[in-house]
Amino acid sequence: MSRDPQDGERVVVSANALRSGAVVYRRTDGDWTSDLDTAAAAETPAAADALLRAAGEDAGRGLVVDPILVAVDRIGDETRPRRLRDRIRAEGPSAGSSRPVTAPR
Amino acid sequence: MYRYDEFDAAFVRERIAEFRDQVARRLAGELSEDQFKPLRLMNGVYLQLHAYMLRVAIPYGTLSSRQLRALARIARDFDRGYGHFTTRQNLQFNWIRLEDMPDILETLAEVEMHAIQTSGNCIRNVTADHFAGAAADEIADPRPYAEILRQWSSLHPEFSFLPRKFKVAVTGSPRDRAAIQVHDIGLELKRDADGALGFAVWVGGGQGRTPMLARRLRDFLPESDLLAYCEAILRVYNLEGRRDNKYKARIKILVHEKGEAELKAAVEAAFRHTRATAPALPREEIARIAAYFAPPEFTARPAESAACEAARRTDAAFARFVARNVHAHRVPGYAIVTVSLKPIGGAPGDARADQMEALAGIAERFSFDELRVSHEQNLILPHVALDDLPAVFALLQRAGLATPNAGLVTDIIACPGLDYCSLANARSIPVAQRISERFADLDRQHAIGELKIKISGCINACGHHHVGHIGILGVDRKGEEFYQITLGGSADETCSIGTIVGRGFSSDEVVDAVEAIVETYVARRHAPDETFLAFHRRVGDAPFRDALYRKAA
Repeated sequence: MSRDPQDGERVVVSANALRSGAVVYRRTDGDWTSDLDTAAAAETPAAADALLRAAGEDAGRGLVVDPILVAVDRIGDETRPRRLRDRIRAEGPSAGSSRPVTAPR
Repeated sequence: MYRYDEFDAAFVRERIAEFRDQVARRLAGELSEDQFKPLRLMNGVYLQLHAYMLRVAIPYGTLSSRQLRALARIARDFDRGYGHFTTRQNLQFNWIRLEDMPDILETLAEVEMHAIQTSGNCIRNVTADHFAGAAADEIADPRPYAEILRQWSSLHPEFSFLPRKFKVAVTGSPRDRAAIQVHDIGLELKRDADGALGFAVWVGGGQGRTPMLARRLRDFLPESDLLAYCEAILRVYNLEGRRDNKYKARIKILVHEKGEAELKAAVEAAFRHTRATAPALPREEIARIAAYFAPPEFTARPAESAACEAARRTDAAFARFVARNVHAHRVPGYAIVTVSLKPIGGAPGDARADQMEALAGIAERFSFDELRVSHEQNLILPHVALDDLPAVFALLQRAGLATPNAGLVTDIIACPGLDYCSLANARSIPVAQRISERFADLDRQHAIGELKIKISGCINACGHHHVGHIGILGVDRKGEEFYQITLGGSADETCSIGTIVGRGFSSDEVVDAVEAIVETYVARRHAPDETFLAFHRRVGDAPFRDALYRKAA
């Protein structure tokens, strides 16, 4: 679950919003959103590097913290992280006292 | 309880002002995350999977109703309406916004609380027996000494950049309810032949990826030498503890690699110096601090309460509650009450804001305005008159806080795990919930007897799984959650590290595995009063292995 995405995997970039700490994803237009389905995706190592670099610049500008690449699958119009940890970050805790509060999507 | 003096209040105010400025500069982009991270950690602010997390210090687990109401207010105004009590007697808020952090710290400061030194490579919250000042078996109240250690360790100029975190626990009773043997320094209050107070001093205990039991360095340290000796231990650790490898940086590794005799010699040599330089601790100073912990003005009451006994005869639920959640008090006519934060199917250690407020009211009215947090993630009302127990029980029931399972199989310790924590490899809360639901039947729980299950979502062992009678460690096996089971751990004065029973279990298998372990014990124990721990110590892992792996085969 903590494994880095492998080369060739479809990836998006995720981070925590600086002010709120909320989980966010970078869109094609450079904005950050809690809606994973609208996140910009990369399917080659070069594109993934570029995405992560752009996210790093946003972190340097104080928009987000700790950007990481997240391996995903695209199913129709929906994007779903491959790994449990990333699914929990996307969907919110699977258990605990903050359920059934709707997690940001 | 300890009340801030002018120095304490000024210090906390200045610290908040400093952090408010640091947050503002971070939000304005004047500080990078690399620059800001050590600063926020010094104020107990973590960045977890979903949000920032704030860890509030609750010194030696002691709270007033006013403080608990403030925590409820923070939960309601700044979080998602609840807080999580931890295995170090602290409270965590999981959904905090960085921009709100300074205002939250102001709210805490108004009730003499803070989040300083709840993170980082420094001396953390000094924990103590949650029955302190009330237990019938207590030699002396450990909290004055915990408070002395807290003051000494706060922003200590020499010990603010240790090789790693440092944890101290104090017990005032030979019956160890503070888990001192798995702390970096564990202190056991005792009296010498002349009746003078002092400590047995244990060093080098800990859990995590290399669990170790502490070594007893001193059988008896006079109380006046407490700070000088602790300073000597910290000085040796600060100088010789490893800084090359985060996973080998705790004092337990130093004890292991240097050897107990060598370490003791080094500490004693340092002590010869620190005795002259460390803060003096004469009896008058101890008495001054102890005055803050003077016992309440108990009224003289008969040892037995007619009202309580009548309620026990007529109300089966109350009788059940008293059997498990009520404990002997040193003053006749009074009792200690465990308020379980482990409702069936609930998240262990969590309390909603409305529950905190209800409990604050109960404590104010029935427990001399005092509560405790236990390292087993429950809350304690330390001073309840037996006559008042029926009324307290009714109020707890109304608040959903009357689960009569203290020390039973559903009184599970669990860390937040992969649902919340960025360090975790597997989830712990759902496993705890499913085990709790499997054993929901109260008759069955009482028939099983005392059984402590502890669950950690990673090797850092915040759920204390190493010292669970049944310990469960969540791991990542090729992208899937897997659970390793240990047996025979114990955090009390007979402290032991659990042994791995065998191959781990998937998420689907682990609850059945726990049930097989419990059924093996129940079927083969000598008598119902042979506890699970005693049974395991008598028969070892073999019968459990047979049941688990023969069953799987």
